[in-house]
Amino acid sequence: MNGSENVAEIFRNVSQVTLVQIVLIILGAWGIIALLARFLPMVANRITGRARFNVLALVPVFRLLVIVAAAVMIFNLLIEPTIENLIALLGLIGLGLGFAFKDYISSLIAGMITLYEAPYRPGDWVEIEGAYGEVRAINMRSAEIVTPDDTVVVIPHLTVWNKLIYNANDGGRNLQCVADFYLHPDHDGRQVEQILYDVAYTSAWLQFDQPVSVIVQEKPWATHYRLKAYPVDPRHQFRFITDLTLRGKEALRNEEIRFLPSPAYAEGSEPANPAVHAREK
Amino acid sequence: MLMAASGQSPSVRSPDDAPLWQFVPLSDFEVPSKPVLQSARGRLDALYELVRLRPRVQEKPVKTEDELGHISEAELQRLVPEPDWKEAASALDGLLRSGDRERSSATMTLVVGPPCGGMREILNAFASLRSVPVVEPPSRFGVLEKDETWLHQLRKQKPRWVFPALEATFVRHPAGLWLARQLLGEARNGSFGHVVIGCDSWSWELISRFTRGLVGHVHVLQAFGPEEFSVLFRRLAESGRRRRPRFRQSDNGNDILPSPEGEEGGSEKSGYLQQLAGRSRGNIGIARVLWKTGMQVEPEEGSQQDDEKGSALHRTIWVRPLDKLSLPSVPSSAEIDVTLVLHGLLVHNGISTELLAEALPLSLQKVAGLLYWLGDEGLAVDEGGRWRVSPLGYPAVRSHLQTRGFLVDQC
Repeated sequence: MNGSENVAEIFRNVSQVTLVQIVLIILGAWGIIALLARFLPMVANRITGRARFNVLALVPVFRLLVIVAAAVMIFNLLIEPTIENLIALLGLIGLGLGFAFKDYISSLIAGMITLYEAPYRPGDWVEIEGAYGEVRAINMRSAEIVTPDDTVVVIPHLTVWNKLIYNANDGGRNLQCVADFYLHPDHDGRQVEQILYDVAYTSAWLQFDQPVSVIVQEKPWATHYRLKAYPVDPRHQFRFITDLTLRGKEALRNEEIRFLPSPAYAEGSEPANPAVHAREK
Repeated sequence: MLMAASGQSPSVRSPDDAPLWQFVPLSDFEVPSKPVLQSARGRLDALYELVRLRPRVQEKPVKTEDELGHISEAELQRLVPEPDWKEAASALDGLLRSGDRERSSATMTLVVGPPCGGMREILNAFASLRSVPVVEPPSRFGVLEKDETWLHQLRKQKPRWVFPALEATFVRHPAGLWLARQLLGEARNGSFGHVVIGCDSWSWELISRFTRGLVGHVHVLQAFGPEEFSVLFRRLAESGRRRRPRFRQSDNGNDILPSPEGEEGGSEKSGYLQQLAGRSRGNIGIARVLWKTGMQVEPEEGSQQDDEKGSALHRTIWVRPLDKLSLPSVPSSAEIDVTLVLHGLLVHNGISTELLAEALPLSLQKVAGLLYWLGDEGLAVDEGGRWRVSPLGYPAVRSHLQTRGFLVDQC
């Protein structure tokens, strides 16, 4: 008995009825996945807080369950479900596809690991390889993040093997924002500190469960104040930073405290992406 | 929950002659629990709202809407008049007198209360009781402009006064905190003598964050539970009429309050007051409005003329259950700016459009538009240029803000 006969023995006789069943299983699985991918985010976007993240995180988990269930059903229709047959078939698939789709397979496996280790979940704000945004979807092979400029970035799960992943809120609603102020060194530091605390406490976006802090650093060319606080929802981080910055400037200018441009700006170099800049603080 | 005014020991409820009003430290404030069924229904309704399914099919009520009609405003006023705030003021007076003996060095007493909870009326009655002046609040525009005139005048006051509106001394703006800080600082140092200051509970939640350490003891009127509401509503209904009618739930016919003396009836006890206490969080003002809103009468019922008042007296008042009231609600799809405006209204205990625009990161036009929209939805009311969250909309607004992680009061 040669090799091709061995492989043929693994499979059952596939009748037309079986083919129809397989097509129906695939269509059913696809329909359920599409329904879940639409329904769960819709529900999640109508709630806030931790519950939102929990609902969003269900999407990839359910998708994996549906795919595994469909695969088991199809295999059951195609082959006799014995250990020997399964090993032979998996060996065949591994040999055939392993070389051609190495990265693809690696991403699929990494995708399963991300569901377990959860380095990022839907709703998280992450930075991967310079792209910062909210994780919109976790697919089998890749994750989609939406940047503040409304650009979708597709990131293969493969990156979890060897790249740094910065997760700003890690499945929760606590995302620290930072507003920077560069002031002329000749001023009353205590007064500025108090003003900045008041700026944070009076911001309508402030989340009071988390602390507000003011960090001061003396630079050769200015005094650098960093006002750190948390918004009520990570999705409002940019409006929050804007509010802190504008109110802070107004309050400091009312006290006749002078601002200084940073040397980077003075030298004409482009300032960093404000979102990434905020997270890096 | 009924206790003596001194608040030393809980006592078994003795319906009519037990003191209703009790002031406690803010940390001892207890919100009446919602009945389990009401909580479960609330969650179910929220789920229905979330996935936009049709509402549940209800059982046929004892009295349908078609069989019942509205009550005149005058009749409602007689059935649910303003409470006698002097009783509450006496309770506060008793507490402070016992406190004065214990802490003679205390120069300032701070009393907080939830919106519509009658705190301002209680402090006005308290001032009358002690024959001390009530200080008028400053202009909020003056606060932003750092106008110290009001503070200078206050320093010239006699050494005892009552100021029931601490929230009027601040605006949620970096330039709007100084007066509240200065006032509480000087009051704590004894610069004003012995003073009593009142503050809205939402405003206090915010003010306390930037005046830490300036205020020691904070008192609050304890929330009313179902027993207290039963006594209160009976007293109110009897105060304006010669004979109290029966109050029955329109869906199941159960009596909400004990039947009037000498009258038969007394069907199964209703859980309405427990639900009311939970929905209103024991807030007298909110509960009164919900109680009034649900009242209906049978138009063809044999009503008798009141000789003194000259208006119809109904023998039975049918009260719609709380989940049948069409109360304002905040749509779950409401944009975040709506939430900001609602929160701004509450933390200032009412504010003008212009000042609210100063306090929020929104333009004046945007704020004005949202306020009109909220007014149309029944969630906010314009009281002479000062917008507030409506009493009927307050429970929904509080719940909305809490689920979205915004700062909420403790009351």
